[in-house]
Amino acid sequence: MDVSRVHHPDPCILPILGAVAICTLPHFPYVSVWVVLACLLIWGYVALASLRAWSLPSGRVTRLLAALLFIGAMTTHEGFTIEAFVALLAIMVAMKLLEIRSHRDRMMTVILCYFLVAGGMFFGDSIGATLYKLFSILIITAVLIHVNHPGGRAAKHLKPALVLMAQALPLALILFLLFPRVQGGIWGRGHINLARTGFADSISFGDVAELATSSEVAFRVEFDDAVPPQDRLYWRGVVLWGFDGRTWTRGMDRRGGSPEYARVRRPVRYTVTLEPHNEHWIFALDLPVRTDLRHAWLLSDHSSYRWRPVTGRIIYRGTSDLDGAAPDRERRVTGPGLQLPETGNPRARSLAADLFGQAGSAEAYVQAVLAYFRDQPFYYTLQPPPLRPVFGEGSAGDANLIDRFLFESRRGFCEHFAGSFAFLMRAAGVPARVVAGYQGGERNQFGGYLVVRQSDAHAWCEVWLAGTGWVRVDPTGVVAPDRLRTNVAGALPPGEGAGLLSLSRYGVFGQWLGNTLGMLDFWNNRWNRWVMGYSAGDQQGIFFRLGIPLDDRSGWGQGLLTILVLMAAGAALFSLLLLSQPKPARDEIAAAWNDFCRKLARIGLARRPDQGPVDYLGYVAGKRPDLAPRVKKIVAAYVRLRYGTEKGEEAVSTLRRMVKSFAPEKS
Amino acid sequence: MNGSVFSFLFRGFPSSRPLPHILPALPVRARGRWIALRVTRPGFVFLGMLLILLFGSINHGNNLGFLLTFLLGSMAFVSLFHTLRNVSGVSPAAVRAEPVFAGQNAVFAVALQPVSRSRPSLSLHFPGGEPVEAHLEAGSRQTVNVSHPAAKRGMLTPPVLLVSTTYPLGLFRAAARLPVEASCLVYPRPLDGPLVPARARAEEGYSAGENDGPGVEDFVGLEAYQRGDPLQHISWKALSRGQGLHTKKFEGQLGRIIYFDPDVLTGDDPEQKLSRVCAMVLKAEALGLAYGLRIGERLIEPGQGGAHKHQCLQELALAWT
Repeated sequence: MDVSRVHHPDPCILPILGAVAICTLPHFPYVSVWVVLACLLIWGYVALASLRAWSLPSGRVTRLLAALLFIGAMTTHEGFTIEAFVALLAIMVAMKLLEIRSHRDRMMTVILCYFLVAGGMFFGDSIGATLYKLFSILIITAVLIHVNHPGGRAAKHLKPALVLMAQALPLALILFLLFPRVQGGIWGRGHINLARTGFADSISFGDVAELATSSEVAFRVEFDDAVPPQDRLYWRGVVLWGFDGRTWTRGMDRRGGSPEYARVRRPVRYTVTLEPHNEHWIFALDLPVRTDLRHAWLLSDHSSYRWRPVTGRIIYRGTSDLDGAAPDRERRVTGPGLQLPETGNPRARSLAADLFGQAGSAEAYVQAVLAYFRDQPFYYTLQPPPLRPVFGEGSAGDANLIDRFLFESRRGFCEHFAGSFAFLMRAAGVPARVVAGYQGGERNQFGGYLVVRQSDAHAWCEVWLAGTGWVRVDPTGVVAPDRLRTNVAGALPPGEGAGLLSLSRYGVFGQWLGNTLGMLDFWNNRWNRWVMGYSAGDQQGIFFRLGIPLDDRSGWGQGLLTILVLMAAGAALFSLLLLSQPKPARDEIAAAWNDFCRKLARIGLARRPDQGPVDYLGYVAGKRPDLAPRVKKIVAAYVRLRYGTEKGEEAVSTLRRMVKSFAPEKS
Repeated sequence: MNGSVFSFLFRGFPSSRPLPHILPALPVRARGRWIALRVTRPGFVFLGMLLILLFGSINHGNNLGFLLTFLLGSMAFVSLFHTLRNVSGVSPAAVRAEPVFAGQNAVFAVALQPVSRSRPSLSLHFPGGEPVEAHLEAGSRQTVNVSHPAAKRGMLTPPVLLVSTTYPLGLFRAAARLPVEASCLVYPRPLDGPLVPARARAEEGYSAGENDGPGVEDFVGLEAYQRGDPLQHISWKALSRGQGLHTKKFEGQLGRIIYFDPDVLTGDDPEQKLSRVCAMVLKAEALGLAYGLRIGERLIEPGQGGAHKHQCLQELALAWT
């Protein structure tokens, strides 16, 4: 075998591979399967190549592979999203493993690992995720030390890495607290297109049911006072005006102008921690009176709209009136509130005409339709049969979805009931609109706050009654009364909704698990509120308590200066602490000897560097016989201490005393 | 000792080739010694990454991003002091070097003072020389062989010994300049050629006698071995017979006296002549001849043995300087 062709695997490759795996693994749920497979294959190859001494692919092959993987990663992700960015980074790091040849390659790979860990800041910032990131940083740091100082096992570098992190942590926390936070971005936010579950700005049949299968947290709410009763917890999100026979949309009508209110009778105040959902609206308890969030407005239909999409977690205060009806001007209502497609759903239209004819008034008509929903065999289900047009039926089937639901399938989720109800209202000339949001929420037994999940997604209806304004009507509550009293899982027929949080079905274990999850959520909520939600406002609060006002314009300059001074002082203090070392023990014997030589040098008898103590004694004795006895004693003591076996504080101090009293005078 | 005073003076750091010349080094006074501090190339990449992370965190108002950025930044900052501490206090106690021929590497054995803390991954080098890795254990005396190319004959005196380290993270390199008072004698580079002795006749001066080379001497007999006898003349046969160490004696070995003199050689380049003579000295010593040396006014009486060879080579190394 040709010796020169034998591949010598890089000695650091396995620890680096470990670091790469540790920092890439948590991203796997967010990148495409394709990228996951590519990473796993490359890792496997690198591990085997290092164990079996296979040769690594040539530069041309790696370049080709990199190009292919790059294209693959870009095409399996939609556009330049955070996921695509992380996928590219993961591919890049994996490819880098294949071409590690020099120290610089190793360093670059490890530094990219840090970058990959930090890239995870968009995916999850719970306590668990943060701890895992810290653990990854510890491992990567140990590997970085190993790369710089190979030899021995990489594991022995864990301790210095831990020491380094522990020393850095206080400084990092000070910086975290003091670094000025700016509200809103400075450079204009790049579009983060992270796939989030949440409401889009339109609803078709089946959309909410699909959303409700997710148990992800939508938002958490802390009430200043008691939590209102469960069936009053309507979380208003987006208000839908337009209907094209198939989909409810926000419509194009202007919603500018301020909303109108009756007098607020019973204000409820609360704080919402909203998880990002990539849309513009924010959720508030029905009926919202005000929300304290910058760049967010309460529109005239009482939905709250934020200038920027919610791409990061936001915290805001809200005030609502539980009993409030929403007054509105008639001319703003009659146009969009009665819009319907010209044709379609003839049976529903005739039903509306019949019922309205019997009822006589709008109020009575609302009750009549609710009674219709209650009395006819309607079913509440998460898996409604599809109402899509059957092939061959043509566009007529598409146009008659409401008919199909009301008279044929009769099985639906909340959006079916709300949408059909609104259709029946409009068909009879009563202005109506669909509101999408959440209903209910689960109270955390440890924190007393409310957790609203995607499974609490709900759609209801609002009807405009002359003299009163918009009144909430929830036909789902008629069909499935349990929905409002408990939650979706409680209202569903047995066997459905097993994926939802219905732990009570699993007995003691379920109870224990529920408690544990509740505790975790409690701590995560605190973490979200006080650490991850640390804002410019909190910072101002801290500085205000320290006597440094930051909130006014002139104060900012001073404040910034103070922050910089504090940072510099911290850094200086830190460097002092680190650089001060214990002084080495003073060599008393050498010091005494040097003193002695200096005294003799002063009278012209300097010791030459090549003269040992005994030679020096001879030299001095030759030049100055009068000094000889004293010099001899000192030299003898020195030699005994330095080269002989004599030891001890006593002898050293004797030598020191003799040298001190030795005062040769010039001849 | 005010060992922790930062001094933000920029000072040139000449002839420190292995360090990347991206920025002038920042000298820091630590424990009374100037230590140059540089950001390594990966260090710049790391700092660039921190900057990107900081901008990202500010722009997205992401507190987890802030936390990670500040943690990584603080770790880099702390590692800087670990790097400084790793070189501060390292100093040579004694340095010595065996003579070498020009073209070889002079190896300086640097005995380092015992240190109170262990110093992993030190790199020692002379300006222009190859770096040597060393790991000092706390309290132990350790000698590190640092080489320096010996390009030309004479006294090789490196101005300074550089001790540098990138421990622990490899993001910064701290380098201390340690004054060393050590030199290495560099003999001329031997240049093979015919043995050209210049026979010394006290009054005659020299006559270039190419034919007067040492012929094959006649074997006279064995004498008891004495220290200094050339190894080549030991009678291995006698030794193998168990008769002890004996030296073969040749007629004419003591009678003939050879002198070498660069001036009798043809050629223009005096350095080349010295190199020729150097090779002749080595050959004569190997053959067990007695030889002397004459360079200009300086005369070395004929002799034999290691000490004599060294004296001659030293004379050649330092000739005309």
